[in-house]
Amino acid sequence: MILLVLMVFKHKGVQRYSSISGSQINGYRLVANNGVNTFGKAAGLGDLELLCNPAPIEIGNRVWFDSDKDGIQDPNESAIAGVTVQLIKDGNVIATAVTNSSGNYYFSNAAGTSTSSARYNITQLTEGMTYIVRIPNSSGTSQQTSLTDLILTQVDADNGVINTLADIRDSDGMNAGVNAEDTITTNLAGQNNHNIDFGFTNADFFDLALKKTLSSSTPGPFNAGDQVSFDIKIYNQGTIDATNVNVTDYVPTGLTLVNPGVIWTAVSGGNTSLVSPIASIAAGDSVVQTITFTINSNFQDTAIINWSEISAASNALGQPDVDSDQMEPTSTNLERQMI
Amino acid sequence: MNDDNVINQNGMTGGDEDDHDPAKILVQQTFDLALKKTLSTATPGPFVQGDVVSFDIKIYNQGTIDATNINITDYVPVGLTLSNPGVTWTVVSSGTTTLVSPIASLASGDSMIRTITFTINSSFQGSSIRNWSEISSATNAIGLADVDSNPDGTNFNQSGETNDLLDDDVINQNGMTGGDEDDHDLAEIAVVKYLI
Repeated sequence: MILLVLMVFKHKGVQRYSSISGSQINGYRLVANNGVNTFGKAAGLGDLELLCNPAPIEIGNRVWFDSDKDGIQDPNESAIAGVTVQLIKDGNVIATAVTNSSGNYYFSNAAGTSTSSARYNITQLTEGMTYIVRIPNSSGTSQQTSLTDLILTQVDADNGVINTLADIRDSDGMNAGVNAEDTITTNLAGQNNHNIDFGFTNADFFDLALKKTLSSSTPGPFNAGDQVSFDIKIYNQGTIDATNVNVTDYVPTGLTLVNPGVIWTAVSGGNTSLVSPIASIAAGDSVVQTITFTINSNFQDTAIINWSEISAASNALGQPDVDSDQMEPTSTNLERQMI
Repeated sequence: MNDDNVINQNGMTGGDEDDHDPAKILVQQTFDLALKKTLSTATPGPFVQGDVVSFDIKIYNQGTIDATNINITDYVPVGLTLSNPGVTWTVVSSGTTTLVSPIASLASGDSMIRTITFTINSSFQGSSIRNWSEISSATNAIGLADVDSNPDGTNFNQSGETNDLLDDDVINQNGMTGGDEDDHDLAEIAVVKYLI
């Protein structure tokens, strides 16, 4: 009878008791009595330490419109909602989120109910691993509609070392093909990283326009032999400064340029252009060039239409004009036929 | 001109090519012919019955528009008979002759003379003859009307066409506002009788 009791004690394990009633809830047998004698419970099993699951990791979190293009999230800068963000491990997309109205997205390995912007239960998101946070098609012909006409702003404007305090408010995305990406390494379990932010800003564009009006210095009415001046106003409607802007004036029948070779000079086809192109027109600015003619003394009609066009312009980025073709050959005036 | 002064459209997608713009001015033009009739230096007179007399009809283009197809009507008075009818002048009805070939063109600022020659009828019994001419028609490229006279082929039908010598050789008045009809003028000759 005593022997039997000794054999039973050769099982080793732990039992759980209710902290309310003191009753046994369950138990775990750690070492079975499989016929081999072992040390007794005290010497054979030793101390017990209690552990729980690793704390979850969450990373994110913001896509915003960097209106002043400084690469820093400023208080007045708005969020960009509806941007698709992917989490990639070893080349595979393991989760996809869409930014909410606050521009936020989250990836987490915690248990939870996912929303479109906050994805939970990502078991492949673990501590100390390398991931790519990617905004697919942030540029290119298949650009996400929520990013239309936007481009990535400058990266790491706060000189932020990844995962440090200085990284909190700057933009971390860099162009990788048509995508924007940030490569990160997760910290230890329980250490969230909400510094993975993507700033987008307006794409630069080059856009000049021209408006021609009768100069107030010669209001008319006009008779043959009179002088007439037109103001040719050039607008820089784009975001890039324009340089070397030249204008071609299509001199019509009945008008003769005054002082040729001074401001305007004859070019081919009876047209004139500026002797010295306008050196620079800053974005948002405008410049007026005046051209003066004499109405021929033998002019025999009652109306004269005089066209002008921007014939050349350049900019530091080498972009073409977004909505007009200023490189039209100066010898023709194709749009004249459109009136 | 529908896109005049438009600077916010896209020329790449069918809108205005906004780097290209016109301005339009209107140029004032006037059409203004005048006529002055004088005795030709070729026939200075004095005149007797049976003499030949020539008048110079000078047409002035006082406007800014070139004139085309100018015709003149000469109101042949009692006592004169057109010489060589059908050559330069032709009789269109009793007492009225016009140019066989209208003046094709008279540039702005220019003038031109057409001479008409008559014979004083041998039976003429008066002592003087007044002979009137008038621009009866003219055109120009832009269809303007004469600013200060009404060309036609009817004598004395307008207030500025008076049968007196007060406005003889006047070419700078406005027949529309009570002045001389300056496309209408006369010349007068005296005819002396044989005293032998």
